[in-house]
Amino acid sequence: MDDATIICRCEDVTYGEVKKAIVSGLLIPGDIRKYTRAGMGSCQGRTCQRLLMQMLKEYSDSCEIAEDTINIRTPIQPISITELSVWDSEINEKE
Amino acid sequence: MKTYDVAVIGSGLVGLSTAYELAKKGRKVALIDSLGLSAGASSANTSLLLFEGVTRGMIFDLCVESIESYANMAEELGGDVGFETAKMICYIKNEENFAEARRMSDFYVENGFEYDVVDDSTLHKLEPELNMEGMLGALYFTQWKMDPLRVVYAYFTRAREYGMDWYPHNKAIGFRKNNERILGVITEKGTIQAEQYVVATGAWTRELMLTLNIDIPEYYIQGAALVAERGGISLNNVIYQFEPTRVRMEQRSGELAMELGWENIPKLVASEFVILQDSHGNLVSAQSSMVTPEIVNAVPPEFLRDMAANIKLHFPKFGVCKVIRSWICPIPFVPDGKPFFGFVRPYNNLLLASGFASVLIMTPILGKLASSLLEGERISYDLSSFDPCRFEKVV
Repeated sequence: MDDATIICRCEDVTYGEVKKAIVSGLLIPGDIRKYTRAGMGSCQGRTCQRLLMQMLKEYSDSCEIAEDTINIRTPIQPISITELSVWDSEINEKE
Repeated sequence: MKTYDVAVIGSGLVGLSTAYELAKKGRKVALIDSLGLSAGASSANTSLLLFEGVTRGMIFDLCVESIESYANMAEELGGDVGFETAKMICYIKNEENFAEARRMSDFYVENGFEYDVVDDSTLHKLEPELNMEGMLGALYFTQWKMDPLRVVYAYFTRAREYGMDWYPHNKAIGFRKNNERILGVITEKGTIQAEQYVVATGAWTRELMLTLNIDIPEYYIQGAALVAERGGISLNNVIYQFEPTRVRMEQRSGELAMELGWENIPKLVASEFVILQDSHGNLVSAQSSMVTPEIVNAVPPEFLRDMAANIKLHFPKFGVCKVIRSWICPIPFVPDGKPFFGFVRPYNNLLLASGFASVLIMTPILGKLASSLLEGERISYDLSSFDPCRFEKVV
């Protein structure tokens, strides 16, 4: 891989851009996502998340990588506005 | 142990712009955050820079100066921050709001803004896909927007290049102090010493200041938003409803907090509608919001449903768009609607800079003012009405 390799294909983010962000001090996947846009596209990181974790291990000199505690992001999978607009809590609980 | 010139607690836009201005002047700066970079409202917002609710006076002047700084920010920080004008459509559904909206438009016209009250046919031309059922008319005007994530990252990377040290995931839990000075900020990973300290912790300000036995009445509304994937949609304007339910909830919860104490307030919920297309083409819609003392990390499902239903109602054609993520975030407010900006008595080296309702629009000027105050420079504004100790409520 070199700096021009695409890490996030949804948003066209390169290896070099992610590396720069980690070296500047972004130490959690959620921050790399917000500030480089890797993982911000349609797949929401389902494709690139592991690569990002690997890069964090490789380029962060911090011995601990903080857990991503704040980013519980619904929906788990993309859902259309129409489907979401008729969500019914009672039906969901029964299922 | 390393001693800094300034330790800035909180890496939101206020903390970042302050840290950047100081680092640029050659000061040794430490930036400390309990979470990652800008984990609060500075990165979770609708990107709009609005004069809404700002009346003539100092805050208005500060906003005007700040907009000028935004216009120069790409050059200053060396990268595009997505600053541009935003065409706003504010639609009105009842007569009472119409009268209020007209007063608002008069105010803006007097102050040199382009502002129009438009009828149905014009509205249809401006935003063809908008379902106008039940709308009496709309205000059409120009404000500004930027990309908050790009602004945060630009301030951060420039400040790092100027030598700022960065302590993420390092929660400030108290201070070492004597009778008139702060001697260190105690964090979960040790004490950080500096000559001066800035508290710019937004919604987390009250919790931190209570460790000094000072009750700063800065509370928060938790605002939610959802994001839909791009493609197949196009919006010409930012569209929102003139129905200040959130503002009313803010006022009510401020009163309740002063009366019952923040920890005892009942849960309140409000729903408004705003929709726009962000600088990457994604649809962003907000906001269902609530007041409750516990900070919530996930958007309640009924909020997602209501926001989706609102989009469907206003733009039936957007029903096929897929929602890809959502957020909920505590947005700080102060009961008297004014920020906290100034030194915290009796500590002559502790500057509080927090509680800005319109923080996005004011960020650049706040960083400059904070750095001037810390450097002991004269500033051209009388900030006494922002005094952090004006509520004088010592626990």
